[in-house]
Amino acid sequence: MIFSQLKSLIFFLLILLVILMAVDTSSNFGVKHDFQNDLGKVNLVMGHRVDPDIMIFGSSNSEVGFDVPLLRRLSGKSVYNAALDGTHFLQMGCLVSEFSDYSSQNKYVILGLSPFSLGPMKKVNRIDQFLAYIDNPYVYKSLSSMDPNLTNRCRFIPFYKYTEVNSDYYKQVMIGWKSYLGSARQKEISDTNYGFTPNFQQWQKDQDAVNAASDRFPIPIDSSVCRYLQGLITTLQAKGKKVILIYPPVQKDGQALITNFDAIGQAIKDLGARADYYFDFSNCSISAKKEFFYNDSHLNARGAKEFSLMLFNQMKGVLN
Amino acid sequence: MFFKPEYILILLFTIVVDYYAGILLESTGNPSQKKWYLVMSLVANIGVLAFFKYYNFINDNITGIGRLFGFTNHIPYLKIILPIGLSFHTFQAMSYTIEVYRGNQKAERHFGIYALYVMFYPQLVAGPIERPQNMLHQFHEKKQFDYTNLISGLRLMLWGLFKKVVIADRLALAVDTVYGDIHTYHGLTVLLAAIFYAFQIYCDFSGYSDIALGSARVMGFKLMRNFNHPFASKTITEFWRRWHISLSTWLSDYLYTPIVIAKRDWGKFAVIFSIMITFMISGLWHGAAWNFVLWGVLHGIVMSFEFITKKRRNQLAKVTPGWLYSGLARLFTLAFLLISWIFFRNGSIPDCIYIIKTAFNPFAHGYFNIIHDDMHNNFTVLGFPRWKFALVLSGVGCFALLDYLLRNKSHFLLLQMNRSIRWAGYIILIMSILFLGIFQSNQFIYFQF
Repeated sequence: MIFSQLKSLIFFLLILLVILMAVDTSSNFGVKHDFQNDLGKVNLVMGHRVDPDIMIFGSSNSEVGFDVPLLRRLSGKSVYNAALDGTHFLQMGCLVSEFSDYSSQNKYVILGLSPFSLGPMKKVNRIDQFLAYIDNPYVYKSLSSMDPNLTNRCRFIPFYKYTEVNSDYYKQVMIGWKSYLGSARQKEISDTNYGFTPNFQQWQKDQDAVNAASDRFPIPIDSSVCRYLQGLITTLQAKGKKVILIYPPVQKDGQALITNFDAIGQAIKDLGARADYYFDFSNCSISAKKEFFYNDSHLNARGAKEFSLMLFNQMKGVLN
Repeated sequence: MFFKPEYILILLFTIVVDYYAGILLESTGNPSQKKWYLVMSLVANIGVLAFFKYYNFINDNITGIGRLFGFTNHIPYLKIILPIGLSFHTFQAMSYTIEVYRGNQKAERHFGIYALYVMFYPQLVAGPIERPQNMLHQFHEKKQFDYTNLISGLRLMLWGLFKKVVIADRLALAVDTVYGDIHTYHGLTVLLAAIFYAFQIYCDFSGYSDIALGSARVMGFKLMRNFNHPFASKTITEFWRRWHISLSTWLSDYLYTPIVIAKRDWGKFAVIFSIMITFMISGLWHGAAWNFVLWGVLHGIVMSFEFITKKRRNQLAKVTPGWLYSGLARLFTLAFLLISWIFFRNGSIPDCIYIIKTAFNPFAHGYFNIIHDDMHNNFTVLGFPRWKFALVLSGVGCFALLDYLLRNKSHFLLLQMNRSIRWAGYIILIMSILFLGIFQSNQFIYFQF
C-alpha cells in the first residue's frame, strides 16, 4: 500500500534527478570550455592544453607582474603565466602538481611569491573555478587542506556546489558553451598576453593616505606552508624541471607596513635555497618608485615591463 | 539571539516550572491558590525573558535618565546573548498555564510530552506560537505514515524555501545595500528599498512558517496557519488577522481581551487603551529597543483610528465604487505598513525620519534618479546591475500579483492543475532554489526575536 503511494513520488524524484544530472553535466562541460580569465587558466592546465618552456605560477602580484609577451620576445621561448588572483599556493598547488604530471615540453617553472605566500590560509578562493575538477585527487587534496568541510560538501553532496556559486559561474558556463559551439571552436590559447594581466592604473591616489592611516602589522610565517612549498619544489624537480623561485618587487611603503618584512624575506630565501635558482627583487630599484606600482604589492603595466626586463637580464644566463 | 548548549538549561527550568504549575493549577480548587500558582509560573517565564531580552535595555534607559538628572547609574551592563527563540517558546509556555488556569486545557501529566510541546523543533525558534488545545492531543495520538501529509508537507516546505532563499534573501542584498549606508541614497531608491523590505520580511517570515508547518505535517502534525495573504488587507485591523496570526491571536486572547473586559466601564476608551497597551507590548516583544516600541505605537494609533472611524468608513464604502474603495484602502494600508516597517528595520530614529522624508517627497530634486554610479562606470540600482534590478523588480511584481490573486483561495494554485503542469511547477521551484537561491548564511529575520 505504502509502496504504491510512494511510486508516484519516486517517479517524480527520478525525473528530477535526471534533469538535474543533465543540467550538472551540461554546466560542467560549459565551464570547462571557458578559456577566458582566471577560470581559463585553470581549464588550460587541468585540460592539459598548455605546456610552455617556461611556466609561471603565483598569485595576483605574479599575474600582473610577469610581462609574458616581453619575456617571450626576449627569451625566444614559449612562456605562460598561470598565476591566479587571490589564490594561495596551498590552492594553486593542485595546478602545479597536475602540470608537473602531464607536461613534457616544459623545462622551467617559475614560482612567484609574495609577502603573504608563507602565511596560513583556511579560505578557498573562488572555489567555482575548481568545482569542475573537484574529483581530481590533486584538486581535492589542495582544497580540502584549506577548507575540508566546504570541499567535502561540494564533492560528496549531490548538487551542493550550486549553493556556493553566483551568477558569474553561469556566465562562465554560457561563455564555455559559446566557445565550444563557435565557428572557430576556440580550443587553443587565444589570449595574446598568455595569462599576463597588465594593469594600466597609476599609483592610486588614496594609497598614500591609506598607508599613512594603517597600523603596521606582522604576516605570520606558517612552517607547514613552507614545508608544502618545499614539497612542490621537490615534486617539480623530480619531474626534471628547473624550479626558479622569484620574489617580485614590493613597494617601499608597503614593506614598511609589514613588521616582519625582513623575516619573511629570510624565510623565502631559505626556500629559494631548495630551488634551482632564486631571484629576490623584493627590494630592488623598482621598489622605490611609485610610478611602477598601482598599490603596495602590485606592479602596473609599466612596472611589469621594467621588472620583466630586469628578470630576463638576471635569468638569461640560466636559460638554455 | 544565539544558540548555546547551556541555554537548554534555561528552557528546562521553565519547562519544569510550567509542568508542575499546570498540575498544581488543576489539582487545587482554591481560587486564590490557583491565582498564586499562575502568577508564579508567569513570573518565572517573564522573568527569564526580561532578564535575557530587556535587562540591558532597561539599564541603558536608566543610564540615559540618570544623565539627564545628573546621577550615575552603577548597575553593571551584562554581556548576555538572547537565547534563540526565547520570545516564542516563552509565549507558548505561558499560553499553557493560562489555559489550564482558565480550565480550557487539562494539565499534561507526561513530562516528556509537555517538554515536546514547548520544544517541538519545527516551531521552536520562530513559531507559530501554538496553543495547548491544538498541540498536546496531537502528541498523544498514534501517528501513521500518511502519504497526503508527506506530499502536502513537502510542498509547503518547498514553497517556504523558495520564498526564503530566492525572494527574501535576494531582496536582502538590495535592502542591506541601501539601509547599510542610508545617507548615500535618496528619493525613489529609498522608497524601493522600503518596498523591497516589506516583501523581504514577508517572504522571510512566512517562508519560515511554511517550512515549519510543512516539516511538522510530514510527521503528521498540524500547526496553525501563521499568514494569510496579508498584503491584500484593506485595513491594519485586517492585516493583523492575516499577519503573524499566532502572535496576534495570542495577544488578543491573553492581553487585549482581558484588558477590555477589566476596563469595560471606560466604554470605547477601554478598547483604545487596550489596543495601545497590546501594540506597545507587541513592539517590545519584537525587540528591546525604542524603534520597536514606536513601531507598535504607530500600529496602535492606526488601529484605534480604524476602531473609532469604523461606522463612517462603512458608510463611505457604501457610496463609493467597490473597486475604488478597495483599491485606495489597500494602497493606504500598504503605505502605512511601508512607513511602519522603516522603524522596524532601523534602530536609529533620526535615520527613520530621513528615510520617510526622502522616500515620500517626489518633488525633491533628483527624486527619480535611481541609477547609482560607483565612479568606476558600474551603474547599479539598489546595488544590482540594471538588468538584474529589472528582473528582481518584475519578480517581486509577479509574486505580489500571485499573492493577491490567491487571497481567497484555500488551496495551493498548482494543486488545481493536472499532474504534468504540477510537476513542472515543482521542478521549476526546486531548480530556482538551487540555481537562483542565495545561500550566504542569511538567517531568518524573526530568529532574532
